[in-house]
Amino acid sequence: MKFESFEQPKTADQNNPSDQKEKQPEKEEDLLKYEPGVGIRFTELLKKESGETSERQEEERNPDEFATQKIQSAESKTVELGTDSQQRLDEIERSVGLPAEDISVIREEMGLSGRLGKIGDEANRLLGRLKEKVSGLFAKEKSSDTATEKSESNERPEYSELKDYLKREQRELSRPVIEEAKRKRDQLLEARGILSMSKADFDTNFSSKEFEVRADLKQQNVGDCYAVAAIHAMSRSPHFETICRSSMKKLPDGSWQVRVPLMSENGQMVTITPEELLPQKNRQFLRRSEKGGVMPDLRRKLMPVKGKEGLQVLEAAFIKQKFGSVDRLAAEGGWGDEVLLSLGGDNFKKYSIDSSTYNPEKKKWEYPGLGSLDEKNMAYLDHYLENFDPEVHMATVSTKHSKIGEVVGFYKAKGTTAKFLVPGHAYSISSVDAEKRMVNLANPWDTSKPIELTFDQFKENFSGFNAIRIDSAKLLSSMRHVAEKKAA
Amino acid sequence: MNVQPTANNITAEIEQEYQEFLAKLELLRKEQEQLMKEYREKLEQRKLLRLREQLNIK
Repeated sequence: MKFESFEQPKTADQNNPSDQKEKQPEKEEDLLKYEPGVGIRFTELLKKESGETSERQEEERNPDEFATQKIQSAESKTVELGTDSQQRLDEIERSVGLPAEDISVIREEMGLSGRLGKIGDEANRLLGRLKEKVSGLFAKEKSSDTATEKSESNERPEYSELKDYLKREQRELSRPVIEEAKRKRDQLLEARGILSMSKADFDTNFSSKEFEVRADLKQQNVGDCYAVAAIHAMSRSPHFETICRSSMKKLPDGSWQVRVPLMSENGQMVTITPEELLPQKNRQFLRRSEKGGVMPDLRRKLMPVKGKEGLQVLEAAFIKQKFGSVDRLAAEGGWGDEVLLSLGGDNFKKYSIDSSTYNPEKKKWEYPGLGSLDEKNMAYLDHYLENFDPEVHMATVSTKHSKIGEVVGFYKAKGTTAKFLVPGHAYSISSVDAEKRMVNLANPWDTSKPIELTFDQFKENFSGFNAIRIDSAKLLSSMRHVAEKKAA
Repeated sequence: MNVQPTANNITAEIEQEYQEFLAKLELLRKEQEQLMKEYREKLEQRKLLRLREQLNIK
């Protein structure tokens, strides 16, 4: 049987094998019941419904006719689901007998048509998948080369089931909140004076073009690629303008006030002076690294990220909030999700996946690439990529580390000749084309030059996925608080 | 070793896919049913509210 039940883990970071026990349901009703945290018990259900006799009955049937008959039946059941719902609605409304205006108010309050529409869409998707699978079976029959191949879902029941669950969860639970958050954001932006930074200041200090934050970020000689990548990933979010305008302010003397975490009610107010954005004297100049190595540090000065002032301020604010001063040397080395969580606070939820493992025999960490992830983590990764939505997601990734003896610098990504990556380096994900299965990345060294990799090339060349998902409900609540506070 | 699937195998697999489809469709039907139930309850609550207003019950 293809589907097995399993326990849904809470988050990508909280997989706990000891949690995988589940109660065995007895009634058919319980088998059909879908509850978050409990897998669908298809195995038991199908045993009950189909039994052993059905296969024997099919022995004499022509597969073509049989398939046509089943598809037709599936189509009529899908249509039936929609017509049933319309009939039920009419029947309920007739029997309760409320005025039409009351009915429309309640329909709107419940988001009834949207929710019914989603059920209909899901049914159509299931029908489409059934058709694909059936035609796939016939294609398999025609090709002896692929005769023994099983579909992905046959071989990887847990992977498929988990991905289905994640997609459903994201679409159905988060979508209404995201929609409301967008409306609220638009209202906030329309109401002049509510936000601490004016639209004009934002455009001057953050945007390269009007209505478009194409931050031409260029990491300079400081090893904070993870921070620059995180800021770039954040700048791609449609919420970025609201987040910055509600939490940052440029004062008349040229200094900035930044509330960290951004959008937080009780965030720490960090002040960044114009001097703190200037190049800094390197106290390590001509000294050897504390971590070893023979080359002295030849950087006389440590430069801020090259880009719009607002983005430089974000880099400085992260460093100052973490280290107490804008100490660029101290900020060298880190992870993008740490920056995103530090700047985003509770509004962001960590979604990180790492393929690195410690090899006790060689006594060192190994970075085999995301392609080597186990099924559970791969389901999380694929789900994130296939459903990448700038409204919800911000991601940085880190390339595989260089092998011993390999010169740190550019290298070609495996499987492609035109793209260049840097080992042990953070990149940001600018966008994902799920249909073409392409990831669009930016190197913090120059974010204006996009790098496109297929999903496979991406998994081959990157070992760490340090991302977040916006907690839309929390963001919405934070926006409300900001609006209320300013209004008061 | 490659094994050519037989007609019987195919009909069995189609049946299996079909049964899985039915099981998932059934879940959606139940979800729809639950939504209808919720809708009816809300309408009835509103109806009750309206009646209370008419009768001036507090």
